[in-house]
Amino acid sequence: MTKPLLDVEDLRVRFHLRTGTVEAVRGVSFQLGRERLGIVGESGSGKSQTGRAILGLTPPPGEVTAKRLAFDGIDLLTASRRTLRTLRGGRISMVMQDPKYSLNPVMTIGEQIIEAYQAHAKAGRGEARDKALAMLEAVKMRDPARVFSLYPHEVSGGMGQRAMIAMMLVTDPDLLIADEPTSALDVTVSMEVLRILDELVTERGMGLIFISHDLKLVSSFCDRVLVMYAGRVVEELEAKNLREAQHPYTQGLMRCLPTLVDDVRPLPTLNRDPAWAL
Amino acid sequence: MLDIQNLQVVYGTGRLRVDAVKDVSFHVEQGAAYGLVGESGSGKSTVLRAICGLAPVSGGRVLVDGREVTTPRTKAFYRTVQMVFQDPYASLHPRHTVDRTLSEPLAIHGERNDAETRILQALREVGLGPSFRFRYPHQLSGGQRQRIAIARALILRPKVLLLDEPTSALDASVQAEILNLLDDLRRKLGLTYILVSHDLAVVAHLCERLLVMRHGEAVEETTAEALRSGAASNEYTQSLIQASQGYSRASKQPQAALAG
Repeated sequence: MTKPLLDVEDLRVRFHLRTGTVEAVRGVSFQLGRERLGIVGESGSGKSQTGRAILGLTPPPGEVTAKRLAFDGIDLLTASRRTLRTLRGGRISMVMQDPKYSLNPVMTIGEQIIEAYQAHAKAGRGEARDKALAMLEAVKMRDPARVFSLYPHEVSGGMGQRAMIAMMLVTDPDLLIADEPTSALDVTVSMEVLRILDELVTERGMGLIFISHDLKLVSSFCDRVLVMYAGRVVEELEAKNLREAQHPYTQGLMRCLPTLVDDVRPLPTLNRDPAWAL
Repeated sequence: MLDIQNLQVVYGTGRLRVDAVKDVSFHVEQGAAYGLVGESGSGKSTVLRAICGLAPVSGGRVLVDGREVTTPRTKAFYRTVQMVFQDPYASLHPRHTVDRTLSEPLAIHGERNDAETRILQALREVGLGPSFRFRYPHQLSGGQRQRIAIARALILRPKVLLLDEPTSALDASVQAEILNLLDDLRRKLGLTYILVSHDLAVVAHLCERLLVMRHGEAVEETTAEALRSGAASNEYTQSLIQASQGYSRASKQPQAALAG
């Protein structure tokens, strides 16, 4: 691997609350090239906070510290707000879980994509419009011109999520962070969205961080997987070697899913070893 | 135990008419577990809601224990049939303690006299100790909340449990615990289940027979056994099976079957 796109070392996210300090992410380190990296974990494992901290979206009163948090050589912790603004949405984009909440309900989909594009590129309205339409076509909308003028409540969840992806990719980012992009969608629709995401990421040679609770999905989609537990990375492995996972947490997660193939009953449950969280 | 004959559910009239369920029939034996699978909007949850009176029965018949249900449902009906909802965060009253949540069904049915022992027993049945009795929902984890919701449904000793996506809001490891609990309870108490889920693997795990639904219609009735051996005849069922195996770069063809 040449110079990594994203270099994270000892990332920590803390929340200072009235009841004490909660450390949501406790020393996560990884490097990312132009590849697909999956981050898997259960609720509360800190996977989403990791993604948010990279973009500087940790909600107050959160505090982010790291030995190194660099994107393409730019230190994200000391960068000015102006630099961060050009990076966010420009070179690093993020797709959130539910299109119902992440799209602006009072703007048409087309307007939102144009807004995203014009925020980062000096472009006239006509050019931005063409770009938006092309992007809607790239995410396989059947009738881009019609979708362009629709409001978010007028489209289905799968279409909304594709519109969201269009908006995030219109600026040609180098890194896309997808936080549970398909959890709010039906299985078959989510396969379609993943296929589009996969094509675009491969075509444009982007880096992708795919955050999900679904181990099976992540391992079938990504090149490399980080398994998180209680704010730490407990295991890092090649997605295709998931079956040879060493850590008991990863093994437990794999086993407790019911499968179509064999009928295990009762299902093995996860006995959480307090030592995992240390 | 439960007989659904040509069930139709229609919302609205004229231009706004929506046929949520079109002519669905199935039969569930006493002590069996029956699954309803499909994507959002397939009408699977609406079937459950129609059975317990939360959606109108616009056509067809719903028979419980050989008798047709009346609208509104009688108290005797709710003594036989109880429901567990998808989201344990939304289905428990946030300002009621576990004790109050569990005593409510008893109060409604005028069985308050031995409430204490029954509440403690219900908690025990779902694997929670007496220490949970005076907690509020926000003091419980998602899995514990779903256990309380199951305890609430079981406290009246119903014969039929309607389960609407009981594990889809839960983490994988917690899902396994709840599925094991449901499996145990069915065997111990001789319950009849109807389980609605979008997850084929969950349905195949818990149920013997299942109905695949799409656009309000029954696509195919099949058995968990047949799913396991991959003997689903229907193209749509096949594509659901494929999708449940995870993402694959190669298989582009089956997606075509899903368009529209």
